Amino acid sequence: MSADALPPLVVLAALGAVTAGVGAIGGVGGAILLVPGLVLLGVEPLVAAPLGLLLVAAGSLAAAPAQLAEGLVHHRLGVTLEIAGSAGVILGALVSDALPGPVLARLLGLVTIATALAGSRRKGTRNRPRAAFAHEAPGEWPGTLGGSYRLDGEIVPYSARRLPLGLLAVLGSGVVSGVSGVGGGFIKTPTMSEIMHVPVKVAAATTTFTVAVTAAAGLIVYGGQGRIDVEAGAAVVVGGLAGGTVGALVQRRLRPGTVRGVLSAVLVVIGLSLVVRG
Amino acid sequence: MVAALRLATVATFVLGVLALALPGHPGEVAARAMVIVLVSTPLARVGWLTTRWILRRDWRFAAAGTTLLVVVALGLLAH
Repeated sequence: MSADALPPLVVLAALGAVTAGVGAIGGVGGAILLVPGLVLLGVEPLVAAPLGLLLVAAGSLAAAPAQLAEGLVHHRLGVTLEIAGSAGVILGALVSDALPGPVLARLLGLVTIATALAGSRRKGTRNRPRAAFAHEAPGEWPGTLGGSYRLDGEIVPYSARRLPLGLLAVLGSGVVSGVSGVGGGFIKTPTMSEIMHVPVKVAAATTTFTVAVTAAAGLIVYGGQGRIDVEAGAAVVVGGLAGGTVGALVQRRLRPGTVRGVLSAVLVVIGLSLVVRG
Repeated sequence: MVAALRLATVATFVLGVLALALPGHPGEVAARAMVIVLVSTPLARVGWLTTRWILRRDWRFAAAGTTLLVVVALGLLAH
């Protein structure tokens, strides 16, 4: 296979299905498995990255209705942070076009390993229910970065803090997305939950909203650079939507901790392979 | 917005299947349409939110939404 030749469409669809499905079970985006997997199969990172962002966009779109219905997305926080995220992905996409393939592959390897390490989350609950909010409808508070959400039948208020630091971290995640073609959720969700003190469920749902915008901004640049193979993208997206749906159903029957552990180990092996091979 | 997002998801899947099933130019057109739906849907969502914030006089976040759309538009000019 030549350096940038893509696998057959049926293989791409299967890869999209497996990576999205496993990602749904393990709580990570499918792109962090798809993009390194394609690079290890001999696909140039410049060609693999757009396919990753297409998978990110499709996965976010599929997850959005349920998260919206649960009232977990904080749109004001997401839009504010995404100013930095979109600026970052545009910058990363422009820079990636100038980097040699082996350098991109090694950067991708480091991102993959970082994702595996980010899988260990802080335990415990920071935001507690407050009786004063018992009769409030959950959702974001207009004009603020605060809101409330329902946890075990009780209403928990929260307020996002340290916005400048959050913006800086999300800018970094955007650059990572633009260079590597992954969604950057492994940076965004902990940024919101650990740095900005937003509840993890709200952070995860808001991240799902923002990665779609990040992917859109990155794909616009990739499209202008002529890097999107639309036929291959269709195979990955169709497989990804099917696999993600199955993965979400299977997830309820598996122990997430065990799956995450196996997934982290696989990501470390893939990441090290990319770093060594270049 | 929930219904619109569900519709966009179905449209993406259908266009993707058509892209794979149809030979030649029709297939490529379907594939490009699929990419356009994936790119435009989140941006339309931001546009809808920004409009709603303007109507509710939530000026700070209306400005944030507008700024975000401007930043994304710069990506069209950047390459």
